[in-house]
This record gives sequence, structure tokens and C-alpha cells, in this order.
Amino acid sequence: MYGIVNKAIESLVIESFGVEKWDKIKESSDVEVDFFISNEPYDDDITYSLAIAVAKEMNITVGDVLVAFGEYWVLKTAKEKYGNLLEAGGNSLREFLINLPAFHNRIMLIYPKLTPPEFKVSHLEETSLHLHYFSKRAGLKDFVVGLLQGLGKLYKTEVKLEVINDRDNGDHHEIFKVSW
Amino acid sequence: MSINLKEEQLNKLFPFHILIDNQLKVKAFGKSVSKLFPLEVGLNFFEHFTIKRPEISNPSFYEIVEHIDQLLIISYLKNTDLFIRGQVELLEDINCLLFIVTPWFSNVDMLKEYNIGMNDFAIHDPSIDLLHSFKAQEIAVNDAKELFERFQLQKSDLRRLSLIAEETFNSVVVTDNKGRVQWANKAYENLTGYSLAESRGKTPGSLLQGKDTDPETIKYLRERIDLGLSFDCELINYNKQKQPYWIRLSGQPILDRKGKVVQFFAFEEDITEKKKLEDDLKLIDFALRNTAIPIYFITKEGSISDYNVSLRETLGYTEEEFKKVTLFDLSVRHTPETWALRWEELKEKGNSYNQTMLRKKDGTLINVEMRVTILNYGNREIAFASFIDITEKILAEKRLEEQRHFYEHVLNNIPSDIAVFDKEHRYLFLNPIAIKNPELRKWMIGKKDEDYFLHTNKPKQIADKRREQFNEVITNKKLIAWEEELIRPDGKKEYHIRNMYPAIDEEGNVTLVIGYGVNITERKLIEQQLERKEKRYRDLFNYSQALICTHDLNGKILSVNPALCNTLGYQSDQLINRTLVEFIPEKDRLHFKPEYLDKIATDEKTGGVFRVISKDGRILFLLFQNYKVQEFGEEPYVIGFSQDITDRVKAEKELLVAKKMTEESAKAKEIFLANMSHEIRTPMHGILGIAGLLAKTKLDAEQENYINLITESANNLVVIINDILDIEKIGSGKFEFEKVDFKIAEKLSTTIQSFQYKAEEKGIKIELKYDFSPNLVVKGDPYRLSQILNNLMSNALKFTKQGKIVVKGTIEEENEEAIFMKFTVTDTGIGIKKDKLSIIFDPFTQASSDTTRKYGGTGLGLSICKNLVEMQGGIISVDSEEGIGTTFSFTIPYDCGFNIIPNKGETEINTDKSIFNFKKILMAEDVIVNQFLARVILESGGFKVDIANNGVEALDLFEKNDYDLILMDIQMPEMDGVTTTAKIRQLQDEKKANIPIIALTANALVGNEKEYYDAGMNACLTKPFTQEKLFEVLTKVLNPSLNLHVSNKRNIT
Ligand code: HEM
Repeated sequence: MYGIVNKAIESLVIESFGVEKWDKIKESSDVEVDFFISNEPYDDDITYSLAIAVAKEMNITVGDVLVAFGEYWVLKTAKEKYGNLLEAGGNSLREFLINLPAFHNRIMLIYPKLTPPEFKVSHLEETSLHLHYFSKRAGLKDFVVGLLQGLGKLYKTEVKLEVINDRDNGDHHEIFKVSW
Repeated sequence: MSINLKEEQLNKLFPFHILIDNQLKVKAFGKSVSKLFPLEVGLNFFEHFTIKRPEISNPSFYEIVEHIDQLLIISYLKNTDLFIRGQVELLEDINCLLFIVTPWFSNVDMLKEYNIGMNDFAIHDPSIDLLHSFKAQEIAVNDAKELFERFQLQKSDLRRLSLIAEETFNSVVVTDNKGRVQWANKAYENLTGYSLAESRGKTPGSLLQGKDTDPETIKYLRERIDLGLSFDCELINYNKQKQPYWIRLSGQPILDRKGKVVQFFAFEEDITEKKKLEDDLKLIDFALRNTAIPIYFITKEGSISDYNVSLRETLGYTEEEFKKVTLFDLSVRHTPETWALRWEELKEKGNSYNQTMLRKKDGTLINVEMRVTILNYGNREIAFASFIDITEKILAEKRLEEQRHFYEHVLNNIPSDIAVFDKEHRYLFLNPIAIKNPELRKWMIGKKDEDYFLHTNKPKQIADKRREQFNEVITNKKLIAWEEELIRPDGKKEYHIRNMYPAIDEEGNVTLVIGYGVNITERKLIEQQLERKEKRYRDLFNYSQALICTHDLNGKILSVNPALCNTLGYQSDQLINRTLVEFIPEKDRLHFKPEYLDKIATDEKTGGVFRVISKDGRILFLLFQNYKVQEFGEEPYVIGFSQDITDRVKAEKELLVAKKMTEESAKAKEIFLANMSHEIRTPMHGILGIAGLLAKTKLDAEQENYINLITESANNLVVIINDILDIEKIGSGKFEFEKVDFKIAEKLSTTIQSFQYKAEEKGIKIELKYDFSPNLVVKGDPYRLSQILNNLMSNALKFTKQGKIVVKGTIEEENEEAIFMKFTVTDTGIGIKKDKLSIIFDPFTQASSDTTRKYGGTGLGLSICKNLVEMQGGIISVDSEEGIGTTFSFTIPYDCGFNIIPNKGETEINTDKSIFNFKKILMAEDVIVNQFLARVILESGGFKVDIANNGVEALDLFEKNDYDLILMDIQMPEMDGVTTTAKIRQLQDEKKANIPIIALTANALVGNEKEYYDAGMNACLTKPFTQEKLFEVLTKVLNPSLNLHVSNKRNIT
């Protein structure tokens, strides 16, 4: 994953717990990279190791880490670093989610080595839709949950999530029913 | 081919297209355009837009067509920031221009500004992706910046670190993994003396270790390095100059990523000083543990965390016992609560220094000077306490204080003034004698005499004098004494002896000056007095007319006074040291020692007459009275006083003659008076006697009157004689008073009775009044009382023509021994002039010269009265008013008499003539008239009378005849009465020898009745006497039951 992701984890930890904690986490993660460069791709293991190390150090599940990270990604990283570009994705949560499938397609152009997720929208209603998440990576379901919750907060919309399909349950891909 | 696009399609593909006609008016525009501008159909396009590039200043339809194949950048006139970019195409069929454009956003924020979202762009439009791309770029740049900054930071950190390593005082060495030096800092070079170049490639040990380096430590280091482990030790190194020093060496392996030791980083600290400090600390610890000063540490809770032997031993505990001891066992005042408070207090103050008491194991208390400090090291607080046992010191101080009190008490009570000064003459101490006022005394301390004298306004000279003396004491370091004269506030002088002496320390410096003074005023005054006395004596000695000398017991002259020198004609040095005997005539010298020197040595004093030879050879008679003087501690000597009596001795003979003559002349006077008295009385006796006889014959009135005149004249003459004799007696002090018991009342009335007849004749009444018992008896002289009264009565009668005379007797005062009788004689006569009252009692005085002429009298009466009263211890006074009358008062103190008087005295006697019958009387009398008179009277009384003309005849007759009584005249020729009586009393015949003898005398002056009684006479009659008197005396004498001593003296009227 691109360095921006690891950097985001770093920021999340430093902002929430301080530099020392981050140094410790990094130490325990055995990640030897001192500095992540946003538009450089890094081994996915590094990202996973960091997430696991955070969970260990904070004594929470990796799932919790990913949820928190998802929220932080939207509300802090995306919003701060990309600013109005994120909001250009739509004037409402609904609009944003409808545009979401194209979102990473565009990003892919910018980050050529990106292994982007793929989203599809079905069952579009006025107050709900089914969001299909296809990924080459495993175990990032909770990250998506965090992202969606973050989006809800961004658009000041109360969001209800329901996992309809789950790769963990042998399904082909994850399907979230997002209601607001 | 031609494609027709529906408006919807056109909108989807080109949401920002604008269609304008050949008039350049907006004909249509895309769905997203209005988000950018408020565009309306029909507006002139170039009124709102301008083509920025290529620059078309005046765009016309055809000119624009010219630019169809070009990129157009169009800006909005109202917002020059906003550009749209694209191209234009001519739609010939409708003769319109179609602008296919899209907005050009230079940053993401513009999206928000124009509320343009992803959907406002045609999907094929990469504008938003471009923005994304920019953003990614921006982020990447930021990352790069951040990375660069961090790198810079690390770089400067590194530089700093290496600088620190380079510059640090401790030496830093980096070795390879075998311990060979790769790099070392300056401190290393300084410490070891080896340069980096010298050291590089060698192990530090090979360079620095030496003989005292502990091999164990070297071994340890080798092992650690071989194992790639850190090390930490202290060891001795030697520098290039082979000087040893201590270092603390700590090293750390430097690992690579794979954990392989690549280098060692070693850090060396020079701990030589620290080592020394440690040794010092050990020493201090030892000192503290072994010092005699008790030391201990107390925790906040009051337990004793550490202590030294001295503490334990001072308090008397064994080591085992002391383990359980806490502060509260030792302290007399701390409980855990107070200690906690004290702790806070100490923390605030830092430390405390005070006196307190500690309890020993055996319970006794000791006084200590305690110092407690709260120490704070690490995070630990502990109280450090130490003390000095001052129990002994306090005791000593107390004793010293007591001693000081004692001395002060002594000093305060020494009856001399005492002052102690410091070296600058300031007062340190004064006792109350020196300064009485305690406030002043206090004030004086620290002051100088100058201050004091100024303060009390005393003369400065005294202060100056004292200062002078003080300076002398300081320089000479010796006692000085001087005398001071002070004037007291009352102006009297005071003298003080002042002493000042220095107190000198071991080095011989004056530390204090002690002054004491004694008030010697009294002594001084005595001295002065003595001096004056001595001067007086000296003056006396020098100026005295008495001849004075002193000599020792051998007669050696010690001193002579000028008078003696003058008398003898020698200078004093010619006399002094010579012996007295040298100045005595040869023939007297033998007697000098035995009769003078020896005598005075034993008798202490002697007197007599020396015969002395003067310088010019005359013999002088010195009457001397000499005394031996023995003074303590001195040789006895003799002081002699003498008087030159040479002239007197010569005159003595003449004097003796003169004396004899004087004596003889006095005697002659007395004899003359006695004779005169005798010679006058004798004829008066005759005249009165004869007149008495004549009066008893038959006479006519005229004859009777003549007789009366004769009698009165004669009586007056007798009174005059008596008065003169009395005055003479008084003057010669020969007056005597009787002391007999008598009844006052009786005496008064008999005295008055004798005036009754005369008074009646003048028609004057006489009254007698008294306020005491008629039987009141006093002891005194009744005759003198009636003499006084007679005088006063006769005066009163004399000066009173009519009225009365009152005689009053009162007891004025009475006590156990004496009774003061007051008598007054008051008349209603002519009175006495005021100015004469004061001289009335003077002799020879009458109220006026007229008085003498008119009333007669000698003027002696009142003077005699006064003398008689005063001689008996009384007083007499007169009170008179002219024309009204006069009162004489007198008081006489009498002794208390017996109340019962034996039946005696004239008033008791009844003249019983029967006892006279046939009694034979021998009368010795030389005067014929008297013989005749006595015979007539006696024979009229029934006596038989024989007459002898003198004593011889009387003796002769008495031997031949028997008589019952003899009347013996004193003055007779041949043999006088006294001699005759003596002879009679010596007769063998007892009966004859005891015959009653009555003396008859005209000698009132010499009138020594005692002489008569001594001669053996029984009674005495003074001539002239009356018949009554004679008979009265005869009755008494002849009646053996009566007292035989009878006298008619002073009773002549
Ligand atoms: C400006 C906004 C965003 C940017 C720049 C962005 C960027 C990225 C990047 C760089 C990756 C890493 C993929 C790789 O490096 O191979 C990623 C992963 C992912 N993104 Fe986003 N993203 C954005 C917003 C979103 C949003 C709104 C969602 C919402 C659901 C989302 C969901 C995901 C998911 C689920 C993954 C995990 C990839 C996987 O499953 O394989 N992203 N994104």
C-alpha cells in the first residue's frame, strides 16, 4: 500500500497517544522503515504489522484498530490532505456513495501502483443502498466499516451498516447495506 | 459523416459548452456553466468574457473563426481569476460558434468555491483528476520537505552530538569490535596524553594500564569485550607521563542491523577527585562515628536511624539497648505530635540551635546545646542532630553566677564606693555607695566620668583629674591614690580617698581598672579639727605666758616655749637637749633627782617651786606643776607648766602684811558694827525699859502722850538698827534660817495681833483670812515669816489712812515634800506709782523722797523682805494702783511638817508668874541702867535678884549662893558671858554646873547664838527686850518640860 496509508496510521497513533507510543509500536512491529513517503508503495505487511502492533500495544482487537483507522482516514487524512477534493465526490452521503465506484478508479490513475478496492452500488433507494466491496486484500472489512462511519460523520448523516455478505462466511465479496 | 447530438447528449459530453450566434450573442450553454457565471441567453458574450489567449483585442465573429484550431483561454471579466479553457468550432449550418470548454481550477479549494462536484464535469474531463494529481504531488512534496527537515534535524543533532562527544570533559573512545581505538575525543587526548593518531589501532589497555591496575578488572574488561557485552568498572590508568589516575570506564557495544557487534563506544570519567572525595568521605564518616560529639539522625517518625558511639555512651546505653531507643525516650519535650510540628518548623527554618535537656538511660537529665538540621538528599528527609553536653558548663556557670552574685553582694555592701572601668575609662560596675540612685547607676554603665559630670552638672576639673589619674594607672600599671574634695548639694564639703588600680592579665596588659573610694569626710573633719586644736595648742604653747617645757625622764629638755626662753633669756636651741639640772643652782642639784625626777616617774605628777638660774645669772623662782605623759608606743616624757613667781615671792611678805591688815580691818568693821549695835541697843534698852516703867506710873494725858512718843521713837530706832544689821548680814552672807515645825495660822494671827492696837488707833481694820486648817504645820523659819509680815504690815499701816488691811494665806501648791504657801498683804493706802514699782525692792529705796520725809523709815524693809523670801526659795511681788491701794504677795516653799506639834512655842506658853515666886536669879550685867531695869522687872514678877557687874563677880556670887537661874550679859568687862558660862558648866557641883543660863546680848550682828549654846547657855535674849519677852523666856527655861533653847531673836517690836 502507498505510504500515505502507513503515514495515516502513524498520524493516528501520534495524535492519539504521542510520539513515544508510536516509537514503541514501531519498535514492536519490527518495521524498520523510519519514514513513509506518501506516494511510494510499501509492502502490505508493513501496514498489517503496524495495525497488529497498535492493537497489541493498545490492548484492543485489530478490528477495532481498523474501524478507528477508517474513520480517521476519511475525517482526517482524506479531508485534510485532499480537502475539498473528497467533498467533490458528492453533495450528500448518497451521492458520494454512488460516485464511490469511480473514486478509486481515478485514484488509480494518480497512484499507478495502486491496488485499489472496487465498489459497486446496488439496491439504490432514497435512504439506503447496497455497497459491494471487492478487494484483492483480505481482512479489511472493518476498515470499510470505519470508512463508511467516517463518511456518515463527514456528511453529518446517521449511518446504519449491515453486513449482508462476508468473505469470512465464504461469500464472494462483502456487501454492506448502508442505510441513513 | 455528420453526427447529430441531442441537447442532452451535448450537455452530458460538454457540460461547460457555450453556443453564440454571429452577433456574438449567447444562444445556449451547458448545464454546469451557470455554476461558474450567471449567463443568460441573448447576452453579448464579449461584454462578459474576453479571450485571453491568443489575445484578441476586438473579437468579431470572423476573427474568432480564425482561431478555431487553437487552444483558447477565456477569462470572465467580472472574475479575472476564473479561466475557462477549450476550443471553438463553427457550426456552419446554424452560423454559430460552439465553445467546448472546461474550467481551469488551479487549486482544489475552487471546487468548493463554485460548488462544483465530480458530476459537474464530463466523465472524460480529467480536470478533477488533474487536481487529484496536483494534490498527490503536493503531498509528495510535503513529504519530501518533511523528510528533508527531519534529515536536517538529525544531521544537526548528529553534529551536535559529535561535537559533544568531541568537546565533553569526559573522554570518549570508539573502538572496533576487538577493542582497538578508531576515534577518541580531545578529552581523551588530554586525559591520557596520547593523541588520537598515537592511539588509533591500539587497545586503550595496552597504552594506559600499569602496575596498579587491578588485573581482575582487566580480565573482566577483556571478557566483556570478547562477548560483545557492555561493561562498567573503575580502574587505575596511567597517562603518557606515567602518572596514575582513576577512571570510571563504561562501554557499550554498537550493533549493526543484524545484531552483530561492530564497534564499542566507551566513556571514561576521571574519578581521581571522586575517589579522593570518597576516601575523604570515609574519613569523615570515621571521624563522625568516633568523634566525642554525640551525633545522630532522626527520622520524621522520631526513630533514630543512625548514631555514633559518643551519643550512646553519653546517654548510658549498650548497643543492644540503644536499638530500641527512639527520640521520645531521649527528649524531655517531644511527643510524636510535637515532633511532627517541630519537623515542619525545622524544615522552614533550615536548622535550629537551642538549649534543651536529654534523658539518660538511668533517668537523669543532662543539659545540652543541641543543633538540629533537616537534611534533604535524594527524596529523603532526615534530621541531623548533634549536641554538646553543657551540664557541667551550666553548673559551672551557675556557680560562677552565684560567685558573681556573692562578689556583687560583697561589693555592694562594702562601705566604700567601688567602680570598675574598662580600658577606655568607661564604667562597667558601680556599687550603691558610689551611686545611690539605682536608675542613675544603671545609666552610668558604659558611660565615662565626663558624661556623668556633664549629666549631673558637677565640676569638670574633678573628672579631668580622675581621667589624668586613670591614664597614669593605664601607663604605669600601678595603684594610685588621691584625695578628692567634693561639694555636696547642700554645700557641705565631702572628702574622698580614691584609689585606682589596674587588673592585669597574664600578658601584662591592663584589662580593667578598679576604683574604690572611701568617704573620709568625718576623718578629714576630725583631722582638720585636730589640726586646729594642735595649732591652738601650738599657739598656746608659743604664745602662752605660762612657761612650758617637755623633758624626758632623765631631765633632758625636749621642747621649750618662747615664754620660757624669754624668762630664762636663752634661745630655744640653747635649752633643747640639755638637762634641767644644768640650770639649777649648785646647792639644789642634789635634791633634783630624788625629789623631782624620781617622784614624777612614780607619782606621775608633782608640783612645787624650782629655783632656776637665768642666762644673766639671776635666780628665778618657778612655781611648777609637772605631769608625766605616757602615750602608747612612745617613750614617756614630762610636760611642765610653770610660772615665774620671783616677783610674787618677793611680794609675798608684803602681801602677807597687807592681808593681815585687811583681815584686821574687816574684823574691826564687824566689831565696830557689833559694838555700835551693842552701844545703841544698850541705851535703847534703858530708854524703852524706863519709858515702860514710867508709863505704868500715874500720868496725865500730856505726859502719857510724851511717853508714847518716846517709846515709838525708840522703837523706830531699834527697827532701823535691826534693818541695818540685817542688810549687813545679808551682804556678808551670814544669814541663817531655822527649820522648825510651826503652825502657820497661829503665826499669822500673832503677827497681826501686834498691829491691832495701832490700827485701831488709826481707825483701820485688819482682816486675816486663810483657807487651810488652823492646825496646818509646816517646817521652816517662823521668825523670818513674821519679820516679813511685820515689814509689810507696818508699811501698809504707815501708808493707809482709812479702809482696811487684809492679810491672806493660801496653799498655792502642795506635794509630798513641799508646801508652797502664798501670803498677801493688801491695803487701801496711797498706792505706788507705776514707774516706781520696779525699784520698790531695791535697797535704800522708797516710792519717793517725799515718802521718806512724810512717812519715815530707812527704805531697807522691802529689800530685806525680798532677800528673806528669795533666800528661802520663794518669790515676792507687788501690785499697786495709785490712790486705790497696794498688794504685796510672796510665796515661800516650806517642808511638810508634822501635823502634831509638841506643846511648845511661845503661843503655847502661859506665862505663869506663880512659878517665878521666890526664885533667885543672878544677873550678870555691867550697865547700871540695865541692872536697874532688870531688877525692877524681875522683882515685879516675884523674883529675887542679885546683880554681878561682870563675869568674875558673877562666878564669885554663884559659888557662894544658890540660884535658880542666871541672866548672863555677853559683853562684860573682866570676864565676858560666854567665858563665864563655860566656867560654870565646868563646875564640879553638878547642880550648879547645870543651872539654866539665859544669854542677854545687844550684839545682834555677830549674834552667833550657836556660840552661846555651844558655851552651854539655855536661851538667848537680845536687848532691848520687853518685860513680856523676858517673862516668857523665863517661863520656858524654868519649866523643865519645855525645850530649853529659847530665843527672842527677831521678835523685837
Ligand atoms: C481522497 C480519498 C481517497 C484516496 C486518496 C484513497 C486512496 C487509497 C489508496 C492509496 C489505497 C491503497 C491501495 C494500494 O495502495 O494498493 C486505498 C485503499 C482502499 N480504499 Fe481508498 N482512498 C480514498 C477514499 C476512499 C473512500 C471514500 C473509501 C470508501 C469506502 C475507500 C476505500 C478503500 C478501501 C476499502 C481500500 C482497501 C484496498 C483493498 O481493499 O484492496 N477509499 N485507497
